[in-house]
Amino acid sequence: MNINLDRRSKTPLTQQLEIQLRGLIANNALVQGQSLPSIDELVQDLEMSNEQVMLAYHNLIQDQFIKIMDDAYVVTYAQFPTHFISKFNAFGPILASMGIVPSIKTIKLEHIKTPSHLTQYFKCPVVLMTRRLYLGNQKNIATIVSYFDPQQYPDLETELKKNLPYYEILREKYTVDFASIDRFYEAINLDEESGIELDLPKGAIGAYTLSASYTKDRHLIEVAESFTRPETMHFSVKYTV
Amino acid sequence: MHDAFYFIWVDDFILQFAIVFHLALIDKIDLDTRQLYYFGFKEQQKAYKLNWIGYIHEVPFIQTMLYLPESIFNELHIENIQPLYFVDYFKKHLNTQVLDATSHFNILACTPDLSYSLKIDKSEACHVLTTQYQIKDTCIALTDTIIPAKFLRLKFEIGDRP
Repeated sequence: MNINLDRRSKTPLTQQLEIQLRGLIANNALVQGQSLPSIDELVQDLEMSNEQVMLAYHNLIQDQFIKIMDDAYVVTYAQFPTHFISKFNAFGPILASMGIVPSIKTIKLEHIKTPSHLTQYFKCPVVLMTRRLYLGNQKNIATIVSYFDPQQYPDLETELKKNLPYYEILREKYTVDFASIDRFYEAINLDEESGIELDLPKGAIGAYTLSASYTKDRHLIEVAESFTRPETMHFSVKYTV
Repeated sequence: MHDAFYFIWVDDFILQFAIVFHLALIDKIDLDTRQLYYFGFKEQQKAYKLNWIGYIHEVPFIQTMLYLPESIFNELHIENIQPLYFVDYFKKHLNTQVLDATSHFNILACTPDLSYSLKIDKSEACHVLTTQYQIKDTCIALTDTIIPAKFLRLKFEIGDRP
């Protein structure tokens, strides 16, 4: 068990030990049913006092991370099972099963200051492209906002006005290859603006997705946010057990 | 695009905490239309509903409802069932290795019942994961797992694209 205590830190040793044990358990380095070292062993190995180690263990017992079984401290914390990590199909197959081909229309293209919640991605002003995704009946089911770094793609706004699929422009003019995407998904209560876009009242339920696309060497290409009508968001998850 | 999506159920933040489940209720109910559909039943049927609420530091965090037809309910020792481990439990106790689980993931507005048990406002967005547990083509159990949106951010990692 790898515990490293920093004796110069302002964080008390008890707390450092507790945090590291929590981390080892949460990251599956210590698993359910596994015994932790005895208090005496930790006192000796980490040069801590008996009371300090006992207090750290006590706090973990309180939070039901561990419990005492047959005089040993045993991990009881149940990690979410691995079969919750599964393959899924989203969105596209649902529309396809409805026999609907979605259409996309760009409604806004402008140069803006980087929104504060995206400053972790961009250190400069960005080019913003807002698109609407329609079903066959022209009902707007999603509003997608993409952000690009204009320094990385000179004349991007002019290029985007040509109305070609933007990933083709990026690939052909700027020789950018999409390699991977990190996507975060949340259920939200829509604010007034996103509600109007989707023809829903403020506070209605919607889906929010943030996607960051990268090249093979993890160079950021694009950040996209989408607000989606809830009835069209449906994932089917197949368990891989 | 390479179809390698991976779905991470809860934020790493949440995984730092232990979730403690309490079985809140066992009830015999009429299955509604949606549940009849998932079970493959065409007519009204009764089922046992087991309802757990999961807490993090005594704050309600997740609600899991398990629906079992009477024949399956009678075969199981419900006191030993733990939410999140249904697949393993069913495999062990229903004498079968052929068991599939497919989930349908969606979002919904909180209902009055959920609002009460999860201690959230009625208008709050929630995530719901409906899972069918199947032996061959027969659905033997159904779960609805509800998590208020404020607790949950899902992360999908999409693998290499050709």
